[in-house]
Amino acid sequence: MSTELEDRLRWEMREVTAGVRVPPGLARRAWRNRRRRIMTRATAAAGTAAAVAAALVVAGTTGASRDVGGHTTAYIVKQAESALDTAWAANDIMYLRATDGTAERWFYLGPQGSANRFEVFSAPGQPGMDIGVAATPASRTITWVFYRTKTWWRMRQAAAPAPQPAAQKSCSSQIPVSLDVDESPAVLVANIREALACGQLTNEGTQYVNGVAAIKLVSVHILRVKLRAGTITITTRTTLWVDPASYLPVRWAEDWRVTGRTRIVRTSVNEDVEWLTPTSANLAQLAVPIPPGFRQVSQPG
Amino acid sequence: MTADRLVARLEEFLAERGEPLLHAAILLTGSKEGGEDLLQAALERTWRRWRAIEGDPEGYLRRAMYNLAADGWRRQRRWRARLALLRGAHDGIEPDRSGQVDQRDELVRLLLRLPPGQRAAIVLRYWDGLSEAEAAAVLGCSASTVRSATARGLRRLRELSGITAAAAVRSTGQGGTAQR
Repeated sequence: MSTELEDRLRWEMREVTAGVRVPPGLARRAWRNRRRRIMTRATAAAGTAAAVAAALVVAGTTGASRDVGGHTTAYIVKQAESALDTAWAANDIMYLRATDGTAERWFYLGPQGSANRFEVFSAPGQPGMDIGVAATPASRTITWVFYRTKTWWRMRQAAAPAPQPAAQKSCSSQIPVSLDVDESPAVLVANIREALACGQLTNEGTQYVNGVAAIKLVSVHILRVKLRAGTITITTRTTLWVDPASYLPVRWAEDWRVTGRTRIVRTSVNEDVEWLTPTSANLAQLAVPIPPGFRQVSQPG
Repeated sequence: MTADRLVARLEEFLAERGEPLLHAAILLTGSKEGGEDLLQAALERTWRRWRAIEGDPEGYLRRAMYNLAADGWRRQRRWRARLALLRGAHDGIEPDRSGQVDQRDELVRLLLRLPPGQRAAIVLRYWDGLSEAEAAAVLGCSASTVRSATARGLRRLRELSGITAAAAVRSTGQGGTAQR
């Protein structure tokens, strides 16, 4: 006997998986990962006495920190903060790619200024909109390219004071530290650092991210707001995956849910993170290309 | 066999035969990324065996994949229990939907809400097209366990989706004719 449910289930299973192919290099990634894990175990075994002593000291100050790969949450957080500092000191480019292929972002903070780029795709491989912001101490240039209308727009303005990270950590705030897009790379990284430093992210073990057994840090925040029509609840779940070797974030995700008496609003962001060395080729990715034949307009749109 | 040759052999195997495994992994984890990760993890787990496997390696990989998925689900369930404490008992817990499959695929999405055993049984029966006995061999349990897990899973899916059994039944012959 076959029911509508079973038929639908088979149909949906086919729909969901249609056209999905095994990515090349999966076996190689598995081999590398296995080799790295074996090496990590060997290294850990060699330094057992020191590691245990250090872990005990840190655990004593952090209460119920979860132990992953022989390290406490406090240790992981400290290493991640340090890795972010190092990456920015080296002027590395932070490159984020939405896991559903809908957008890419670049953040760069160099000795001569900063540059960000945000590209949105209307379909896989088809750009829909491209925005770039390049700032020097003297000026700021914003470029927009609209692929639907085949137009582009550019504006130059005097440099505005760049948004600075808050001097004081807002750990006591009920509102979660957002990792959302910001014009200043410094603020973006400061937000991640703050989330780590405030202990808002808790360790949730390891999970594979692009072949790396990454450490998964999660925070869930709930904010209830009383409105005339009733109380709404804003739930934000932030997840940060950290490379166990470099301690740099390799993926982050944020999921917002607003629930009220009559409706539920939900949205989410899920991006892979790469750290690119500031070579000429990588820096060139920060420039917004104007495709040939596109017309310059005085107003964006 | 050197590591490079083994990797090359595995890549070749995955290119030829890996697709059904990846598709099952996607259904088990609820996302393409999760499916790739699960398949890769299964490869790692079975790595030592690969040098010795002369025949069909697919069975080893499938078994490892299903076992890993069950492990992942157990961890997730523990975490959900902790989340419930953080969020308050009145606030319903929903699965992590990061990188999730298309929202329009209602039943596949609802699979995420089934216990691991039921979910695995359903994917094995209705995606892999295995008989109860074959599914039992993969899961390391009896055929009757697979039968009851499948039945309970389908009943739960029916409840969650609002598809009533009485209205939807179209008699087409023998029960459990799982096929792709």
